[in-house]
Amino acid sequence: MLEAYGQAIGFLFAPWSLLTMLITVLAGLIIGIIPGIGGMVAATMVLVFIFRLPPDIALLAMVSIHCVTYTGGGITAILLNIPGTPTAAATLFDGFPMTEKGEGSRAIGAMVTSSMVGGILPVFLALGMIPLLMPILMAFRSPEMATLILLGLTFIAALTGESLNRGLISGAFGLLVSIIGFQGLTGVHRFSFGSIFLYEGLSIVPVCLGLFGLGEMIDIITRGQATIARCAVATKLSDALAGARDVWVHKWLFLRCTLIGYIVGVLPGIGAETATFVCYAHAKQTSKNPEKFGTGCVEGVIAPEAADNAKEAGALLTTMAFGIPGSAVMAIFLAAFLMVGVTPGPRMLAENLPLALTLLLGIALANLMGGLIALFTAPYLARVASIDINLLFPVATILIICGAYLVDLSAGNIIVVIIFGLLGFIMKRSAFSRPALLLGFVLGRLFEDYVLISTKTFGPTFFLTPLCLGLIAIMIGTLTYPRLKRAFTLWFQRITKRVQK
Amino acid sequence: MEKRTTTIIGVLIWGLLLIAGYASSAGLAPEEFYRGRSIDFTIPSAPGGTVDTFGRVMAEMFNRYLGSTSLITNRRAAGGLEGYVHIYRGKPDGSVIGSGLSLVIAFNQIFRSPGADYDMHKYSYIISAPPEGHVLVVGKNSPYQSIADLKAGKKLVLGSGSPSSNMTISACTLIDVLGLDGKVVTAYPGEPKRRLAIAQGELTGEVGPVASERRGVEQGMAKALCVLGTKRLKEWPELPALTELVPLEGEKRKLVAMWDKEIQQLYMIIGSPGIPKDTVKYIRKTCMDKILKDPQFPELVHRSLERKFPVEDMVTGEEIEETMQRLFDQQDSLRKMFERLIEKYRA
Repeated sequence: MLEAYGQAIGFLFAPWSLLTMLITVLAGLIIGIIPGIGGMVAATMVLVFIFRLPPDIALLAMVSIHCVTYTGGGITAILLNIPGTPTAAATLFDGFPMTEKGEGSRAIGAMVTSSMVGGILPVFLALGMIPLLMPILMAFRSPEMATLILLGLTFIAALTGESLNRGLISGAFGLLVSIIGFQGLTGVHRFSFGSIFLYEGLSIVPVCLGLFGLGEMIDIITRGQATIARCAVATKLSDALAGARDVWVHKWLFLRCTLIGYIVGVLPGIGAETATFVCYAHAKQTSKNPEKFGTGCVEGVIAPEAADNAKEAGALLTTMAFGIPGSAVMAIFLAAFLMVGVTPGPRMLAENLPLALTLLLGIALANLMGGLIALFTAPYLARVASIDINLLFPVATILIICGAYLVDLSAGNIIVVIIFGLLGFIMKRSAFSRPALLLGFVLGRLFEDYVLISTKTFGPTFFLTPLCLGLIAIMIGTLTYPRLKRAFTLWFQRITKRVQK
Repeated sequence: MEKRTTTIIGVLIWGLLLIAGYASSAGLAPEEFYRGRSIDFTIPSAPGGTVDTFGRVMAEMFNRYLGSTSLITNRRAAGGLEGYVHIYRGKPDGSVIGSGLSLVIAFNQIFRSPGADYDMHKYSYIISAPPEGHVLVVGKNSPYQSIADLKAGKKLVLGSGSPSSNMTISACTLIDVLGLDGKVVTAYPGEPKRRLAIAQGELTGEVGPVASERRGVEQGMAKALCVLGTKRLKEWPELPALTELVPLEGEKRKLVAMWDKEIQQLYMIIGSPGIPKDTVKYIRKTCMDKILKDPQFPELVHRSLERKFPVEDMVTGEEIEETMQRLFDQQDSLRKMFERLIEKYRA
């Protein structure tokens, strides 16, 4: 084992490896910043070179370029309210308001640190958790997945904003939009109107870009705002480092979200966005000041970013250890492994341990490199918030539309982004919760599929398993916890007053 | 007046240049046509799947031996239908080619899927990997470790992806010919989830393509019971055919025998309909001969498909045409048969 570690570290710090990582980390950050192009495109780009590069270098390049796209995606989410990657959508709920308050540098500092450490820590967890991985994978069958996703859906209540009713309406609309397309179990086309484009439903990227990116831009322009920031923008390195310190201040939240992200990454078929949204909602529910969420609260940046990068270590480990890709991007990694003659599975860790360790440690090193680059450029990037909106709006709009088109090279996505842009603008002005809509959209279809599969396989009482009942108990606890806490606080105050009298 | 004359002359010159350009490319020999040209190489699946890796290997080979540059695009909407339609509607000069699966093309047309605006026998078929059979697997720790166990079992559940896919139909076929007490549950989100569900005991098993099922067996998650067919597979000779384990006669045997040849998956390279015959011949013969002799090709194609076979066993374009023509001619009877099976056994 030690020898394998030595080989891995020796390979990682060889000049060619470091140079490859530096180039791919920079490319990954830029790709992450550009909306609509995420880790999948980045990994596919490197796949083209798989025949031309030595296998170790090619795989290391893929891992490096992919894992830092999430850091880059968070930058655009914070500065422009445009999620660079779909999973960064949860970061903009509080990241962008921080930019509006002139704290963009601090937000990026918090995001980068959370993302960087959240990507490094699970790598070391991953190696220790290999024996636990199989039991976790075996425990989560379709009923458990359905219940887990339902738990995620209950977090819609935490994202409702000021009005619970409007929040629930938004969430319900998100569920409705999620069912557009072909239903795999029943073979029925719903709201697709015979169009190939709508066959598989709407893609999350144009929905996100429209709802938050374009909608926000329209809102700023129509309010006659001169710049994104409504006050002076803090542009010193010390502001970015203050954000980094915030992660240490909220270290327990950070650690919890890292663990949640890691576990979600391990479970295939649950959707990458689930981790970030659930962590954001968890952060809000457990915060001492939940009413500040949505107005520029740094916890709302730390929580989703910790999960966003943590899930990648889990997903890569599941892919290498069991040959089961933990996400759509990992399917590309699986293909890359096979093309270089490495068969992922239990044998890989025995026969190719140095390679496995190289890739896992490569994630840690790439995150460190990407994080430091982003941290030290944060003060400069934050100045975007003080650019004249008349210059920024056309550039941002073009980026949004190009990003939407690049998803499937489909013009239909441009129409989707415009429709959801208008919807996002109307929702913002009418105080309907866009996060709730997005969460309903992200989880709705998954929930329906798992419920139908569970019902067909186990019958209508599929949820009566110990793990499902445990998750339902957590769900009930999560929903009732704020009320119980308030009731308990009031009761305690009454008792204290009586005692004092 | 001067300005108008200048405009007319300019338009005439541009028009002549365009016509000359078109005429010059139209009259080019295939070898010259491809040299330095960019090919629109469409892969009708998401990146990372077998169709994708096979397509990328072939695109690389075409780059080497056609002298062209393949611009690879994944068009995966509607289960890849978008990609197949894109290739079908491509310019009929050989500049639009791609990878694809024979049964996906065939079944979309047989079942008249919305958007399947093509005729399966009209594509220009270039080459294919040897046909891939279907294999029945069960969970390694499942209580059903033989065909006899399955026949005695109750409420069996076989997994599948799309409701009218080859996996669904093969599973329904198995249940029908063996008279099993079971059903097929579709819409599992991907092969990894299905494999995990089999290992977890949620699914009894599945009937799937050889390469994919062998991966599950090698990972220790599944056990292969038999080939769905009347003959053993060259690439898995120790696995018995279904009819060796269970004597079948009449219609049931005919139904199983279809999976020996007609309903086997071909991983193909296809082009738009109407490509000039000499261009098709050039790619099929001249170019493919060079590719098959490339020392790297066997290893690359084996890794991409996760199957080992002699490259001489690859299926020629003419043979693929015959297969697709047969499926096209029988589409009505196949549709009736498949719809009956799906109606009866899909959950």
